[in-house]
Amino acid sequence: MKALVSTVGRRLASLVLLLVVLTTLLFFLLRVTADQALVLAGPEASAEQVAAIRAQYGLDRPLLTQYVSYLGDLLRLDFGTSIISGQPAIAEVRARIWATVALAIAGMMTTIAISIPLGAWLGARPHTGGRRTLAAFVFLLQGTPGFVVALLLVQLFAVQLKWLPFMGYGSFATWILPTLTLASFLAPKLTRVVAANVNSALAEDHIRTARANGAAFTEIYWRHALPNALLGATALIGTQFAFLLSGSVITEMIFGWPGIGTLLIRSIQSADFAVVQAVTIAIAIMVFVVNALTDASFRLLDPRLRRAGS
Amino acid sequence: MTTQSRQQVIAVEDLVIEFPGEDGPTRVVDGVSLTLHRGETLGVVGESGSGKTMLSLALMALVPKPGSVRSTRMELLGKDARALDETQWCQIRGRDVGMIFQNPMTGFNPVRTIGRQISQSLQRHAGMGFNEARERVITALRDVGIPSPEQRFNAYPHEMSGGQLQRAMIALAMINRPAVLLADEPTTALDATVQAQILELMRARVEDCGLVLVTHDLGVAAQICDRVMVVRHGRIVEAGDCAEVLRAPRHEYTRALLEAAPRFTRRRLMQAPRVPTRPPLLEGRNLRVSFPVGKRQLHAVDGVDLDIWPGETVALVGESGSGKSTTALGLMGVHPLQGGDLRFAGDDVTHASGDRLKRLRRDLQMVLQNPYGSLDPRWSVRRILTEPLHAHGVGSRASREARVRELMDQVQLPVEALDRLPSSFSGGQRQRISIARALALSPRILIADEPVSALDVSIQAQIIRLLLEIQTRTGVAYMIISHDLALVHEIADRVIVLYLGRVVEQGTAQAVISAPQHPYTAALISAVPVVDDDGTRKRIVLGGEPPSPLNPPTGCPFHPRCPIAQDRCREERPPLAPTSGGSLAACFYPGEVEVDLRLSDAADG
Ligand code: SF4
Repeated sequence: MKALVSTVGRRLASLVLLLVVLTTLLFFLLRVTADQALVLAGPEASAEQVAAIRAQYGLDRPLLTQYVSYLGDLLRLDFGTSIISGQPAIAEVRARIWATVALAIAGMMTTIAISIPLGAWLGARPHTGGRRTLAAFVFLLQGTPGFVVALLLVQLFAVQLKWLPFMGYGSFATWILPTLTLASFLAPKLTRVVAANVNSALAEDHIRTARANGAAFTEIYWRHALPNALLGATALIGTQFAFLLSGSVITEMIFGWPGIGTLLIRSIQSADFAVVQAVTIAIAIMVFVVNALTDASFRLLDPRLRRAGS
Repeated sequence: MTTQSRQQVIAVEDLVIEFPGEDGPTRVVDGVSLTLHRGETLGVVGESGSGKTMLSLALMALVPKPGSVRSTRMELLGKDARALDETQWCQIRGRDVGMIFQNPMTGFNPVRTIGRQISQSLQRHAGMGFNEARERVITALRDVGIPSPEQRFNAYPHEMSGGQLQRAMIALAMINRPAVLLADEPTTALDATVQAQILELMRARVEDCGLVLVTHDLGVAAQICDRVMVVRHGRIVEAGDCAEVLRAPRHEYTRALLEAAPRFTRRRLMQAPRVPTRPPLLEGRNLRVSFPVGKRQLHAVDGVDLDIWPGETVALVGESGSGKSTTALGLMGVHPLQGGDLRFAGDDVTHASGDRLKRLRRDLQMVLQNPYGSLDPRWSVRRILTEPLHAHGVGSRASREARVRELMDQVQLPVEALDRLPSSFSGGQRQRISIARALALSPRILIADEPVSALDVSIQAQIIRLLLEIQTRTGVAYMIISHDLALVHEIADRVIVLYLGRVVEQGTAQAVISAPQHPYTAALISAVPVVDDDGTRKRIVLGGEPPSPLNPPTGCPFHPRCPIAQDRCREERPPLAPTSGGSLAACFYPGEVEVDLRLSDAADG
């Protein structure tokens, strides 16, 4: 119990450190790359107008002063206001984060539902005819960029067959193409890892021990090889899920998905710094939580990582 | 006991095992016939590549995939085993035939408890429920000498030591009281002291079944086998009564194996020890190396005094975890010394760094145990041998080439081999290359960590002979780290025995081996399975395994395992002091435990 508290404590401390470094870097980088006042004033504005806007938004203060006041706001959980919508940045994030998280969950579930059975089957006897061909196909798929798959899916199901809407967010049908896109991007890798893990698990010494004690193949497979292989795949599932939470920007753009990915792109384009910062912080926290959960599940599942006596 | 009156459990005739290859099939087992009765132990002795492991796997129909198995007769418990299908085999494996594998550390599933894995076999074959099986498994664990078996039942493999896991493996193989037990190098991965325990256990447990013991070690076979079968390249070269074969081997290959097998020779004992005349080259006083483990310190080397004289051979012995290798790495400057005083040729090198460390490394070279991992596979032999010369800026291009050729000559490899890659050499040849590399800078001391233990026995003798020749020619001093006390007796001038990072005995090889003063040394010597043992040799089998150096016992650190420990030993720590036997020993009752060496009269070892 004590060990748990100290682990959690250490983790939280590193999260805080991460956030401090991240916000600092982001703050200065954004302000080096774009001038918010120019964007706000519009292309036709005169120098006086720009100066007025600078004064109005406090952009005429020294950068360091701005940074300190930004940090102060952050501590009060005030993430600033969007210069585009006039809404608090946090509200913008809150309005869209669910779409991204839900899509990530749907994408991950689909990936798992495809990859684990397929990988388990491919890995059991990898050198037999049909499985070899399929494994080669999976390998090919892994090299295909996600947006290519997305465009193909849209072309086929939305444009040609007109079975599914190719944009939008709402009914069940709108979820299918984005989810499949994400899954087609992640599933090949996970499938191959599961297959390789199952295959190498079957070659372990302890499998030979079990066989020498009369265990039949099915028992060896279900009781020893597959569980051990999946344990090894947990890490990848965690990484992939973290990736979905932060990186499904292209998919969101293609399907006009109202998630934080599209929000992030739009805010960068319009120099909406407060929103960019809020989105980034939200992503960092989510990725961090997923990683911590992956780690914790590892500890729970693998007795070698469990501390003796706790 | 006549084996004829007992039930025959295995009868195999003309067994052939082949693996398909690019140019036709390779025969790994070629026409082997054997029989086995209940209560009998058959040793299958051979080196790597002899097909001995495949032979044992074939008796369980476990030869891996592309392999094919044929025979004119294969009976198991009187039934034809060739007609069995996989389902029937599944019923036989673990019930009628049990198997113990070489490496207990990887033999159990790491994420399931030992108890469950053993129970599984009972549930499968005896149709027991888990709770009933649990009782039986706990009894079985107790029978194989595992302390507090109720708790160990729930232990995961990583929570147990190698020796304990091998005991558990034996419990598993015996759980259904099989008629046949196959053991493939069951003690090779274990310390000699633990090996002695396991052999003792197998001898005691086997009474009622037939045991096939596959081993490379004639000494191990001599301990427990009734009959032996010597195999080479898949064929039987000699078979017969164990004692008979060892006493009067008929085949020259058996003789070669026997010559290379561990034994203590009378000839060696008669030799006068070499007495150093010059001051020591390397002088270590009170050396310390420790590592942080969590918040505590693990004292791996805890106040060791150690000298190396020019041209001598000193052996460092002890179980794994005794601090042998760490001491060597401390001398090399790989692990920083946390305390003590180290002098090389009179210079203080305790905390040598930079240029001084580099100079020290020229004079102090090391050869590692594993000739497979220690050579860069992408480098030619020439590059491997030139590299140290290069790194130390020794010689010109031409003189380096000359040196490399000279080295090849020294380790008796052809100069033409200089352009080949390590992968094209055998294990013994690779070890020659490692030795040549270590000699490149003409070091004055060569530290060799188990230089031959990864090699086949017949190759071991060649490498040892090579090392001795090099020493005569160049006057290099050796520090040999070894668990093989018979080898140490043959080649070392002096022996230093370590236990939990401390020296417990030190002296000339003759004195220490023939009349060990410390009970631990006596036990180590006694644990060597010598071929001259006809089963009557008195042995001291140590209980348990070394305690963790994280919390060493109070008083004499050896007292929990010492057969003669007294009350005093629990409170006071004995200092390293001169004894009547001529060596120094850290024991209050030196010389009390005697060893039975079973001296051999063999002319050369
Ligand atoms: S001091 Fe006592 S416990 Fe230690 S080795 Fe000697 S007799 Fe055994």
